[in-house]
Amino acid sequence: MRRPGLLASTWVLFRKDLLLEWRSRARVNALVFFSLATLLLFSFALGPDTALLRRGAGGYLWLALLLSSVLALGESFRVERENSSLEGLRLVPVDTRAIFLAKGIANAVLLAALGVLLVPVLVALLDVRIVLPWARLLTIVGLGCLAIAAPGTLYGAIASHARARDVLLPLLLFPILIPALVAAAKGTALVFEGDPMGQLPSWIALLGGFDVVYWGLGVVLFPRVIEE
Amino acid sequence: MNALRTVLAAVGEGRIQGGWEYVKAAYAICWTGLSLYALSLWVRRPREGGP
Amino acid sequence: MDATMRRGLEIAAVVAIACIFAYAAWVGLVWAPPDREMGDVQRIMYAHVPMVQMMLLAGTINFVASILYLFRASWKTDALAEASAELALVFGAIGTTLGSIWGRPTWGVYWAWDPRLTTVAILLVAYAGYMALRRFVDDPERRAVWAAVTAIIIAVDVPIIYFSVKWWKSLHQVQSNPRTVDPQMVHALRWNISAFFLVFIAFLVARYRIALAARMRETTVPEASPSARQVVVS
Repeated sequence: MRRPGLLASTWVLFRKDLLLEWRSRARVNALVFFSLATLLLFSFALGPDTALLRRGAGGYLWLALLLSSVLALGESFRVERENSSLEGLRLVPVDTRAIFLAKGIANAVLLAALGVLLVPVLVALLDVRIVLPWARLLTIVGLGCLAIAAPGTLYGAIASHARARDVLLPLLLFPILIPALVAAAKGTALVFEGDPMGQLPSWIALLGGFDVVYWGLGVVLFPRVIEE
Repeated sequence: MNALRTVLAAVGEGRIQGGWEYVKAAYAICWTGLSLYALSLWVRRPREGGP
Repeated sequence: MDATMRRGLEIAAVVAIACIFAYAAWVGLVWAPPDREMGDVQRIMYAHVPMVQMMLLAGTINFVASILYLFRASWKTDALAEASAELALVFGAIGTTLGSIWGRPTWGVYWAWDPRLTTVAILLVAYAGYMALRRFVDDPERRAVWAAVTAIIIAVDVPIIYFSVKWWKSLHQVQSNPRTVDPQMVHALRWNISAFFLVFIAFLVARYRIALAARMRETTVPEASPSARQVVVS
């Protein structure tokens, strides 16, 4: 049997991951409500001065996404572990890099959907205005979620086979993501408040660079992570 | 002249005076930290004779 | 070279390093002149700078050892990676604390989001995660591979973290770092860097031995890993 190509394998596995997420909609719903709850928590902890809250909106969005990502990434690999499906995949002649790409992109898509959902909530809760074009905001959300997903998928695979996995994943992931967090939060804040000094392209470039580096690293390192 | 003297006294030399408490605290932390770590290395040393 | 002779040499080395360290401390605390602006607070730099430099050295060793391990599995490189990571944590934590103490009388605050200080702080958390990972994985081979992967991810991030903090911070004012140009200060700094370097090497050797012994213990018990692949011990 001819080994399927990288792109074809990735697509098949990606559809499988999305289908799994769709089938466990309850889990995804819980994730949505968790992220909403975090936004509420921030509002209560740092409010009720609405001006202050509005200035922090960019940061809150990304903190909520970051905290939700830990749950999402943990879940993403728990399913595999419980059904020993990673071992099953290794037996099928699939390029292991396809597993990384598929899982990573599926995680990114889930997080980006979450992000897009949270924006109108921010607009309502914190009286946020989107001053710059929508496309910029979507770019930042997309690049930022890709940034979380790349090391997140790598570390998710590692943590799911270690003890204390619920603590280990965020402990490993958060320090690494700080540059992406800074860039995404600052970029989002600029979209909400306007960018008189033209700083947005630099932040987007930083996010893009981070994505290139970590997706590249992930493709190279993931096969070593899951090999026996 | 008095006014100048007052102003100069307020401005100071432009150099931090004293500050030895900070130096002592810093060196104490440094030496204590390294000593404690050396102690932990000594306590964890592998037993001679092999596995 | 038999065991007692080696023992003797090791004790001699430790004594020599202690003497050099004491001398360097005297050079820094007594012999060196006070700074023109910072006064005697400057003397903290003679400990802070070497400590942070040793942390960066440890991080580099950890990075190189991790890459080497992925190319050719060997318990020696794994043990070196473990030892250097722990040293990075110890030297970095102490070094950062010293920097913070120095900051109080000079900057006026214990912390100022200075890009270098912030990057080191983030690195400390990252290496703490690395050590936690090592503690929470029981299979020695998996632990070695996953730790190596984690180390590479951390090392690659260092320049990215530094630049992102620099840009982030540049939205506000930037703290300047004073330069030591006085030749007497350079002399004091050189002595201290050398002394701390020797201490670092001694610690590294000791910690490396501890890690290697643990690896040997884990892998010579047959029941330890049923699917144990032969790993080259070279």
